[in-house]
Amino acid sequence: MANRGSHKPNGSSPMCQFKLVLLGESAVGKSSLVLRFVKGQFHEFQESTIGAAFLTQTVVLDDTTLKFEIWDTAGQERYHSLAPMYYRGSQAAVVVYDITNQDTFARAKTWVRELEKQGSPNIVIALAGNKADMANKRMVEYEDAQAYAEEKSLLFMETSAKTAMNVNDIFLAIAKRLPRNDDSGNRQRTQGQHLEDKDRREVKEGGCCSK
Amino acid sequence: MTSLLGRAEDASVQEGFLCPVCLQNCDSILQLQWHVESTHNTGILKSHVKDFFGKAKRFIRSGVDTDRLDGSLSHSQEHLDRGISDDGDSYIGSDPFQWENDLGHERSHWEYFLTRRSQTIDKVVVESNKLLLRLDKLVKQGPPWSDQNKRKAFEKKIVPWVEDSSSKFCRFCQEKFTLTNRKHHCRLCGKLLCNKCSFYMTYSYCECVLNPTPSNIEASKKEPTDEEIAHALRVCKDCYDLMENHKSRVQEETSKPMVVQLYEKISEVMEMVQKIIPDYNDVVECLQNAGENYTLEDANTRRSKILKMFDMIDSLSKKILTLQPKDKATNSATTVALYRRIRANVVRFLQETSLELKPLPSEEDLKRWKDERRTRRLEEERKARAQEESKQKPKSSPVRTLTQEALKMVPKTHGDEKVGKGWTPSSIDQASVAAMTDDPLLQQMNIISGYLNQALQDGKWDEANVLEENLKLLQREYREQEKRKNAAVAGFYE
Repeated sequence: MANRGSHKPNGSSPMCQFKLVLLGESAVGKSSLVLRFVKGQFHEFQESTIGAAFLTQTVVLDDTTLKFEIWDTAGQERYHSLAPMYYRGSQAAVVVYDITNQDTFARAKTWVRELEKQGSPNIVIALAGNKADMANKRMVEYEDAQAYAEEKSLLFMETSAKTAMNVNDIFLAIAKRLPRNDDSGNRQRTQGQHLEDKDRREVKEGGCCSK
Repeated sequence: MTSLLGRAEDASVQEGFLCPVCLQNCDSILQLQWHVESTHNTGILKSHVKDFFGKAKRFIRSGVDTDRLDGSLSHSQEHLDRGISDDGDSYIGSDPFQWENDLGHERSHWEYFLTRRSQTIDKVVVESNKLLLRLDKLVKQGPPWSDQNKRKAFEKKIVPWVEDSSSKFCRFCQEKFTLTNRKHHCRLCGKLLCNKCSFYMTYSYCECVLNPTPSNIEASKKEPTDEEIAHALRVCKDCYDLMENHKSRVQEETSKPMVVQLYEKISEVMEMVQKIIPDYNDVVECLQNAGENYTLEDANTRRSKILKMFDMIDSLSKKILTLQPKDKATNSATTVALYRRIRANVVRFLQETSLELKPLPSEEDLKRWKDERRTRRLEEERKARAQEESKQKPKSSPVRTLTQEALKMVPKTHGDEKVGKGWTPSSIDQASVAAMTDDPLLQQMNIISGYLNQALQDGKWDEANVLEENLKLLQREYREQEKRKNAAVAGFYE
């Protein structure tokens, strides 16, 4: 379930798979962001997500093919109990806020804190200030968010799912940060091993075996 | 003239309305005038009066050295001269009330007034404080008194009573005290008075004076019972007035007039309305966009809340209109105008805010919006798919299957970064899946199994794998949750 640094059996280029989770307050544009990345589409009236949606997208980076398994979680309060199941074991997380709403930025900060505490130890976190096309209604300053991102060493970009600004860029930036098979096989293996451990531990905690 | 001066110097104590000729003292200026006209209406008078005014002129010239007065002074001189020389028989010019008065010496009595005022206030305050302290002691012991003698002794201990022999007359009505017209003592100042001139203070009234809380005020407004009257304190008019003054002053300080209370309530409700309206409008807007966050029920409850508040504001403002100005004589017109203006303001507020209020959507509206939105979304998706397909056709290489947009977005400088064609289960209707159950976990399990079927259909084996694992995880979590719930229920019954 966690890291699958697997080679695509029939592909020409090496392929690794990564689990990525989107978190953030409801209606900040998580689903729109990921839909733009995966399908290149944008719906003005995106329905609110129920539970968590699943999407995949492949990215080719320096002859390596990376496959994102993307879990787009629901922002509504009632689905928050599901979130830990999806960010646990994720190698990457995109925490999204709405630049026209200060509260969503505060909520994003709490998500980052939660990820630092509960998430995988080497998780790559990206902070996305969405709805950048509505900069005239901006309530969260770019500089503030950037300063926060630097302090927490997060990737940071302001994005717009509507105009596609920085959408692919932020996912590519994540892809670049992720440890890959070819750049250090050793590291990859240790990380994989590490996560396997975590998996087993979870199973023990659950008091039940699934694998 | 010299004789006048000389005499005045000799008898410097004489003052008043002295006749300038014979120095007879008249009581008023009119009498003086009459006296001069009747007794000294001779030629001599003219010279005397002329002398008198000439002296006055000289005096004014030397005494008033400011230029400011010169104009009016010369004017008044002219006037005087005319009055005396041209019109010798009449004394219009010498009537002080017809002079254009010059500014004489003035003195401010402000300081004097202030000292006298503070003295009076001190006296009243000290006196009423003394009485209040006494009253407090008297009331603390409180009714009921079974033994009148004991009560008397107690009251005497707190307030020293004057001797019965100190006065033979009631100091209010001046009636002589007799066997039938008995002597009584004021319980607060201890002085004598007759029965007729007595005032009575019930204990509830005393409580109200000492501690004017709303409950005490209410209690004091009730008709006193016979028992209360029997135990009431006998006081004299002076003490009663002092206490009454104190009470009304404190009440005025602490209690707000009815209008203010009502108006404050209105403003409070108005504020609440203004807070809740944007909320309601948001809900309606969300419903219009077929959002899932709210139901029609939410909108309905908010709307009825707002309408209830409207009613409240309306009735409160009407109540203000029915208020009668307490003091009919003073300012009643402005008070009534104020009431009217409050009402007008309220009406305007109600009109404006009800305009702001969006109409409550009906069930049909909701259904229509939902359908509209679904068709819009499906159309968009269909269009996007058609676009994609048309773009895909010329390109055969799997790495090159990029949407136009994706290509645009990939920075050209990093030639080796490419975003592929993603996959997502498209045909799953999340809403219908979610409608089957309320538990988020079960909902998610339904969604994932839907995804899984789709992935298997599309031949997306990797995705199917991931989804299957997630489904297992969810099932495990669900079992855990059920176990916890059961344990909790069991614990509850133990």
